[in-house]
Amino acid sequence: MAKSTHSAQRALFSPVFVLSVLALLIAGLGLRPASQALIRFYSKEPIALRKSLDEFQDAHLPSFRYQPVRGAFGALADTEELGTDDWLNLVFEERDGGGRREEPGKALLFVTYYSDPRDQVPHTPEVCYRQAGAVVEGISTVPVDLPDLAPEICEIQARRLEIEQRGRKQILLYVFCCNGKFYHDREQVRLAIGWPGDKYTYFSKVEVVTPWPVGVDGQIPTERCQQLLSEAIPILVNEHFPRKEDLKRR
Amino acid sequence: MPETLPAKALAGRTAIIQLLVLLAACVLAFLPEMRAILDAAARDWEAAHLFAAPVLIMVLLYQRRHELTRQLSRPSVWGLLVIILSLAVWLFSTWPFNYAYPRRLAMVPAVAGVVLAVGGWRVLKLCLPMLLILMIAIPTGSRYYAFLIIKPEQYTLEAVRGTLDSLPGVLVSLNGLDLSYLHGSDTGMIALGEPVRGASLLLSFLTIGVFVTFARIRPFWQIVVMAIAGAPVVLFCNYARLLILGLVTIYGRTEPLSFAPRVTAVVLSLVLAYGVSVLLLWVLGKIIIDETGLDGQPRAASPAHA
Repeated sequence: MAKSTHSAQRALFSPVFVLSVLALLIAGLGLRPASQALIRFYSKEPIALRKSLDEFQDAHLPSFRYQPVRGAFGALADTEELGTDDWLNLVFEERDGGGRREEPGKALLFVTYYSDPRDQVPHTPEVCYRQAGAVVEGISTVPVDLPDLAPEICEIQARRLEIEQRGRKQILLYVFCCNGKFYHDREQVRLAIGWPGDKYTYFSKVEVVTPWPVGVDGQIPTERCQQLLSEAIPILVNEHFPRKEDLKRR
Repeated sequence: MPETLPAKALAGRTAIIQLLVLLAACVLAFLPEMRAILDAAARDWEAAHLFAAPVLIMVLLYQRRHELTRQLSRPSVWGLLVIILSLAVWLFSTWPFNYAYPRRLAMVPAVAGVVLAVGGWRVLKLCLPMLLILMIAIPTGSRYYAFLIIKPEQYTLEAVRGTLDSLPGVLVSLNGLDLSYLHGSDTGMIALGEPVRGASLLLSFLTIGVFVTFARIRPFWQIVVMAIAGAPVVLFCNYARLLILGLVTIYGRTEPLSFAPRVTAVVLSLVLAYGVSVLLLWVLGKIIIDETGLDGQPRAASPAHA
């Protein structure tokens, strides 16, 4: 009996058990303050836009002209809910009917900019449009050519949504730009915000939405959105968003 | 020989002491995450199954107590490594990244590591269902959940609209997430004010399914069948919940935002989830698998699988 008690005592204080207790105690007492110190010391800082989005040069878009119509379509969120003062919401019309005989198509460009590293990446359109009563009928990704940003970036992937709201259909394309890189998934943006290296951080959501009339091939509104993104993104990157070199530690 | 029984009892007692000490240390390590989870569950009834999880885990532990004692083996050093790995997950989802869900989820491998460090691999295998219930109990982020449910919610709303609309004298239309009805001179909305009206209590249904499946030690093939049936059963129970809510709202002529239709729908759908899981397992229990080996001899009894 004495022998078994002795072996049980040995098992009670086995190295695995003792080290496991130590690991958890260290985590409970030391890891949390240590992580807070790391956050304080290494946390990224906000960086302002080089040029306000209010000064967006819509005349620089070769295929679109600005239409002074606000809220013509699209389900924009309340600006207070956007969580930022830096946003852009403009309606454009195709200059030459997109090379087709039909009436020139309209498209809405909606850009939001965030630079506080504690900012939550906002709800993506597939979630917030539904909350506004829309039905998301399709989700996919499409390529967007960016020849004006070549050779650094030639093509990006944007998320494409087919949305039905009050009997009207729309095509929506959106993409995130975080520290000069493009993502179509908000989880990837969250990862990019935290990725160590840069001193400053920012992210922006660039969204384009256009009506999809009944009987029209879905490719036409999709191409309109692709074209608008293709022309607007280089202006945003070259004139508004912070330069990559300005994000580095100095 | 007379010393065998006390020695086993002593080993069991030692394991329980180690388990309690390590779980207490685990609570200390994850206290803020636990508080956050409890706060979330108290505010949102989508996460209400969290409060049932400890009871269900205790019941499963009680059900498996003899098997657990029998399978108790030497502590595994892998337990310590799993604990360290879970703490690394916690650290990286705190800094440099900021992910609340993986930070909370790190608790599950930590507990798995504790079980492994105390009881070895076989005990961990027996505890997997409890760990699964613990994992399901940890709420996902609301934004991520809202993204995940887009399709299931839409299909459920359309299915419920179709079903209710086929009832005599009832007209139901779906506009976005809003189900409106016209019944005689009564008009109104179904599930008005519910944020995820078309995909609610999914994890609660799943928890019930997991609990019922593992309430007894079953052959592995039955667990595989239940895992495959899991998603359809959960979606069916979700459909039934919204359908019951619609029926009670329409025929009960309840006031908008009335509590009664919701409670009725929740209780009945949870009972349904339990009933469907029990029924499925009963049917599976009736299926006889050929236990004869290739040599024509009956196979030896296999050890418990899960």
